[in-house]
Amino acid sequence: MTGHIVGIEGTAHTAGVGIVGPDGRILSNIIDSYSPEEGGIHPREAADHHSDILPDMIDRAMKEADLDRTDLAAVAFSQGPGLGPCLRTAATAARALSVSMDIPLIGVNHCVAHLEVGDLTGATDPILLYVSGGNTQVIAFVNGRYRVFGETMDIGIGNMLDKFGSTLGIPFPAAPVLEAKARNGGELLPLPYSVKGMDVAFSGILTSAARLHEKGASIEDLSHSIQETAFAMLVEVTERALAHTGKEEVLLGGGVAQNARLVEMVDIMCRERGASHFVPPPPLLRDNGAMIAYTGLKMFNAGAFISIEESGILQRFRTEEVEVTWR
Amino acid sequence: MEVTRGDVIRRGSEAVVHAGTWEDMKVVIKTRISKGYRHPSIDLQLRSERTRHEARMLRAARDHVWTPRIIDIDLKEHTIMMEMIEGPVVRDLVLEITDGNLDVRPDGGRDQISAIGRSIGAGLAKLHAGGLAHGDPTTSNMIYHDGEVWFIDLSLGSRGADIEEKAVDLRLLREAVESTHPGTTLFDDAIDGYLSTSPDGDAVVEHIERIDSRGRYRRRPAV
Ligand SMILES: Nc1ncnc2c1ncn2[C@@H]1O[C@H](COP(=O)(O)OP(=O)(O)O)[C@@H](O)[C@H]1O
Ligand SMILES: [Mg+2]
Repeated sequence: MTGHIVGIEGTAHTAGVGIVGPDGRILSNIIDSYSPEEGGIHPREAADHHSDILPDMIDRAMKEADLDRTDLAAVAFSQGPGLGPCLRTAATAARALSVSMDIPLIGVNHCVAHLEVGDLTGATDPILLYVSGGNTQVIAFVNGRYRVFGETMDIGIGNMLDKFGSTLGIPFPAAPVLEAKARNGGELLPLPYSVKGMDVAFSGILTSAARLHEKGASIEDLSHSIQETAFAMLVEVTERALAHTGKEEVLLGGGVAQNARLVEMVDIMCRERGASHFVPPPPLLRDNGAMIAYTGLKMFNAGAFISIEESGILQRFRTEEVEVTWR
Repeated sequence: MEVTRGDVIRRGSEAVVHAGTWEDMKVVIKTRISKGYRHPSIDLQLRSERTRHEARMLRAARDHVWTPRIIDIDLKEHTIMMEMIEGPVVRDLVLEITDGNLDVRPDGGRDQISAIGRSIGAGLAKLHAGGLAHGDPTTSNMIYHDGEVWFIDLSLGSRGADIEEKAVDLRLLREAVESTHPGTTLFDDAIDGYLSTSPDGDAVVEHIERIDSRGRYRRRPAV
């Protein structure tokens, strides 16, 4: 039983360890998120959480996959983009495993992993709408490279939702609470709809919503209005990317893609233009190690290894920078 | 007012363009379509704002470059009716020349490409001198008519454009040429035309490099 790949994820608040077999089947996918007492971003605390827990998570992932460490052919890790302290912790765990087992190291771009793992949903050549806390991008593979068709010019959609929640005293992560509140919202309050070319911006929504809240707007109406406005922006840019590339599939990725209203809007857009859409199950939507392992396997088969010296983290690892040798 | 709607010329992600006639005139009717995914009030607001913006941009551009005359806008139907500019879109024309499907002179059409490129550049320079940025200067948004390049689809354009927006226009043109007309001199010719028409063209062209060096400005990656 050789040829298995372990993937270690640690770009932000979530630590993940996943294992795939040589055929790409996911054998385990252990996820553990750091949730701060107070809202906001806590890179150091999250990194401490990851370094405390990763060794044990690797053991659990091995056990769940019913494997021995000698069955591993390579170790893949999230090399970037992300928060420095978190990335460093995941990279350290990966290097240690690579050295101790004498197996190659594979540096995976986290955003690309969200796209690659779409295979498992049946998508063949999709536009990825990637919506998480820190990241908001529309990505596809075109002409031999991963390309960003649109992205946020300020904050990620998830951060915007969480930040708005924290101004209302809702603990992190607030986005699911806001989604529930939005279901009881009725009135659509005016918020800035900001799409420029293929890019979006969310900070204007945050400022306006806070002002409306001070003036007495209900949390329900505000949540509803924020979702309707921000999600419409995302779906519009996704549709433009479809039209521009001629592709016919949309894949969702990132934790915010668990929002039922966003999924519904993507579904309607796709139906209206005769495209199909794919939503991975939550453990593959969220940040996770299985997608790192899965992408790592493709890279492994193409011999895309890196040495320890080349394994430095890349906090601003851009999707377009990925040198693709495995597709 | 007698309007007849004919064939669909193009169905884009945002708008459908129909050919038609108004009285004896050939017209084009561009309709912004409703999107079922978005809230009805956002849908209505975007469609009417964008229709109004595009009409305003077309009118403003008319003082500087060849652009179709607007005959009517209907903010309830979200339509702009404009005169039809007869002739190929520049994209198709250039592709025909470069594919050798046109009966061109022995130089393989290089002179024609040069002339078209220079008119594109000169047109953008005049728009920019009027403070307008086109916003989406691909060769599908230009029509070749009577030996001139006409500009359409200014829906992403802006007024009061600064040097950044002007340089972005040129950069978008470069991306469009690289993806649709690779290996042609079209972009270099456009820059020639731009520089010989625009008084402050040098500064704008230099600014392109500054944007390039920032490394994060690809609105429309080449397909
Ligand atoms: N005034 C016009 N005269 C002739 N053809 C036009 C005119 N306006 C638009 N078209 C045709 O319709 C196509 C799409 O129009 P455009 O305004 O660019 O809409 P879209 O937003 O879909 O790109 C153009 O590429 C061109 O072929
Ligand atoms: Mg157009």
